[in-house]
Amino acid sequence: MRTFFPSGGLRTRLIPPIAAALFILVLSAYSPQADAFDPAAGIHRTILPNGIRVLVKERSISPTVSLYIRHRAGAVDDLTSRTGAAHLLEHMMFKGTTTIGTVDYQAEKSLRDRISEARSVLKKVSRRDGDDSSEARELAEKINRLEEEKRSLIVSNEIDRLYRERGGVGLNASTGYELTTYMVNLPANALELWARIEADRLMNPVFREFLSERDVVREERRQMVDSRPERQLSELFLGTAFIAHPYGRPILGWSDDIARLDIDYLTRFFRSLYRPSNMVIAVVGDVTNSEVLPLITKYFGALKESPADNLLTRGVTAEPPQRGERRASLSSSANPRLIIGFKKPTAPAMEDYVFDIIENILTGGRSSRLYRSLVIEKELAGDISAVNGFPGILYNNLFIVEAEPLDGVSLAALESAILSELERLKREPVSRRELQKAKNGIRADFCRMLDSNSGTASVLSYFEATLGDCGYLTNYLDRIASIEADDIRSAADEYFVKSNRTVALLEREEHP
Amino acid sequence: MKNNIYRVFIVLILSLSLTGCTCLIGRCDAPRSPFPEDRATAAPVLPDPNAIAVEPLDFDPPAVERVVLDNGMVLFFMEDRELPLVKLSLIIQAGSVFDPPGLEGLAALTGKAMIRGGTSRMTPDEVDDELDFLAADISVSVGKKTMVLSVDATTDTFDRALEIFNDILHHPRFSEQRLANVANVTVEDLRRIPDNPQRLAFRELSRLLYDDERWGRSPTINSVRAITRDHCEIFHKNFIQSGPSMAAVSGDVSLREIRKKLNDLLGSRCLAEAEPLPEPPVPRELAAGYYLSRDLPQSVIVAGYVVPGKNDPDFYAMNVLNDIAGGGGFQSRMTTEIRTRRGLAYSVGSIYEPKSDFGVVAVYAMTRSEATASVVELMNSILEDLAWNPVDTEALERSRKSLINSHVFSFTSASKITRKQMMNAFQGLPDNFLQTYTDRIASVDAEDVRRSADAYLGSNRRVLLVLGHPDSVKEQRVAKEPLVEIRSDLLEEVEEL
Repeated sequence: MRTFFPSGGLRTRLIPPIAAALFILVLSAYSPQADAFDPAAGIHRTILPNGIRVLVKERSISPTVSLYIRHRAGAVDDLTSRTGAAHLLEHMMFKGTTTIGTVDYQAEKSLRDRISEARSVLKKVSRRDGDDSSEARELAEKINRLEEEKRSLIVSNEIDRLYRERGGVGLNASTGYELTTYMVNLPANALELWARIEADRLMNPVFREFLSERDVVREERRQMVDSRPERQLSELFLGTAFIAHPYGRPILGWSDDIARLDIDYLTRFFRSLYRPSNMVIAVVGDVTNSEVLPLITKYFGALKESPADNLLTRGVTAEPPQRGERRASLSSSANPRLIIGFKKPTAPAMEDYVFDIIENILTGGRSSRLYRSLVIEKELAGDISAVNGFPGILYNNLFIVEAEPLDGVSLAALESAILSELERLKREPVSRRELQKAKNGIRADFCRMLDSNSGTASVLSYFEATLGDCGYLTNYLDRIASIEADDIRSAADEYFVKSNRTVALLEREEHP
Repeated sequence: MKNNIYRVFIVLILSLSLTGCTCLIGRCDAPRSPFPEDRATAAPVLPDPNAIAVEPLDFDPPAVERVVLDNGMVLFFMEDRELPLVKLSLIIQAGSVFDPPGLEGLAALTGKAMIRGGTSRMTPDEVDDELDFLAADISVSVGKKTMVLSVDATTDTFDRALEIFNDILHHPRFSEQRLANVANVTVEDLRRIPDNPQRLAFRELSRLLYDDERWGRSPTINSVRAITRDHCEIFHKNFIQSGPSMAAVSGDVSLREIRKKLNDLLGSRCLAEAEPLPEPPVPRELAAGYYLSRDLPQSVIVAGYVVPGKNDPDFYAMNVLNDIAGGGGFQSRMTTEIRTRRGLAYSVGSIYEPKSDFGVVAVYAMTRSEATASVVELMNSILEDLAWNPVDTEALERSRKSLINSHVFSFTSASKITRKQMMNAFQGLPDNFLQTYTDRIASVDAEDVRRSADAYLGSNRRVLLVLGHPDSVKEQRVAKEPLVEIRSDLLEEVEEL
């Protein structure tokens, strides 16, 4: 159940982190001894008549509130030739509404329609007479004039302004494989403003400045992937591990597909997937349920379930069983690294809990097996991390180990050492102390994650939106407590096998 | 695999055709607009978002207890019983500015080797094992002036974690083997900096920004490799063992309990005179432009300015100026002009990082190679405009409101509040620094902003670095002055390996 976004950056954000270590968000879990506190205490869960699920938790240390809206819509819903649609839509949702971001919406709309019409005429004329014909040139000039006129009616980034003026911080959004999330932290007195803006952009969004925003996303891909070989390796790894399931496609989308995305398609995607029944709201902070619910009902209650678009909601291709090791490699001038992954069942299957423990045993701290053995004792790796539940949670996923060899160490030697440690899990039972250590670590991580409004809002809405149950965490505690050494050996025996393995290597390119 | 792809395409085409046919034969109720706002259903009338009433925020920043321990060390404390967690941070004047020449990275390596290298009573493995079992985290962060050591544990394990923390702080073993391991891992991290263009660009900018090399030095592979156990022991003795320090504690513990514990453990800690810090860096007087050639599809553009810090009366105007120029999210001029209007960058903006006696403003953008010169030009023109023309009332008000109304987020957790108080006190800022912040921001006017832009962000004070494909610099006139090609000491070391 641990959802972890390693250096592969398998979640994209509207606003990038700058000049900081890569942001790593750990949605961790708590453990058996959580009797000292109850994270589920005080959570009010309500389902509105239109299907929106609302979670409210009161925390009064400061007069602030963290607000999360999660939609069960993400890159798994992108069509094959339209990868990146969920992500570009997330960007477009910041472009305003019929009443935000415009000085005169009716005039803007009229211009929009005239531009649309002129473009379709231009298309016909160009096809008939060529782009250079005088009629085509006149039409192109006319479109430019109209665009210019329309631009003068647009007030850019109004949503940002409204929030910031009231003291909002952390306005952002992210797109993952299964969820698209919109978040902001506000002083508690700005709650109604949030409800007003967010409901409006779900009911009346206007996708302004589309072409320049699509260019922003292309820059995002250049920055986050094309300039970063380790991100390219992550894409290659997932594409190798998943040959049919959309986990094999990049959330950002392929460059070619991004260039193909248009407003028409994004509108269909939005209407089909941003539906009340797909939506979870979490409100955590210095507010009461009795003040939050009426506001949310007043503003979001008007959202209607729109008819689903069959093309977009026909389901997700299942990954066929893997019958043999898969390997891929990428040559680059960057330093080498590797990713090894094994397919496994997702939450809430019992194996998933077991793999959370295994993750902690392998790389949860400096005394963990892989860290101590490969980084400290054998000095084969400079860094190593294991991640359970990669890259998503709704479908069967992967347990991965990602590592960077120290200078002079071959990838083959590093891979072999990692696999030996995994084999050890099959041979030797984990000691009681080691097992308890893993459980203690998981518990403490969980406490730390709840030590902020945004951490609490994030984790509650995440499990509600994916597993349909924010209370999953309460049961999680008991499940983790019940895991024994034999469970670990059985899981290792069953899943850490060659035929279930995918390996991707980033190799230094050889210069002739 | 090929067949699968064809099958997907065929299904796609069929689905699209069917949708089209359905509409053609009249089963659609209404033509479907390609625009999301054109919905058939009427939306409720929403109030003007600018007019939504806001109750005044009834908020007094929570009181932080300030107590003096037996040895004179100041402790900032706040109780918070919500979660079973306790956090302690200790700030010491032991930053990287004290690294001797040729041993750059010593402060950071000493900090890491203290934590990972065992204590007089425990081997490194024993420390690792016990801390992991306790689920306690002991960490270090090293800045230019200070080192902050922290312990973060659950209520039931905090006492033991604190004992280990104290041993690490005062009786580190500096195991030779572990020190070598920490150095190897650090070298590997340095070797990998060039794999991340942003990281490389900011590292090189930091080297270029200061005339005084004590502020601009960065660790290199050779400097880290030159560090020995003796160096760490001396650094520890001179700066960490007994230097001036302050502490912050928050969480599930009472003041009485923690005071006793700290008096027992840290009470004997001697607060010796501090090694004097070097004079703050001085700003450049002549614009300097550099480029570093890397075969990348995108240029990383960074520019830095040495500016006033928190002790300067212009600190408040600098906050507003940074917010308007590039620090204020989407509303900032750089984001609006470069990202929103022109689609030239995903990451663009400015950062203001103030210390007590000086600060740094860095502006940055990552853009496709061929747009490098345009983006530099846009950044320059935005800063020049801010220096020449007072900002309009609306933009000024927007920025002041944003900074004032978001100030409450400085007080969202007990650990954040106590730590911030500790950092401010250690920098010698007045006790009421946080409390008076909003009034001082409210008093910043348009002329303050213009004057600050002119005085501190003028092009003559700018150090520009473009990291990217050589064509992006050679085929475009990126700046008024020709850019000087630089070599990175780190890249040279990596190539030599």
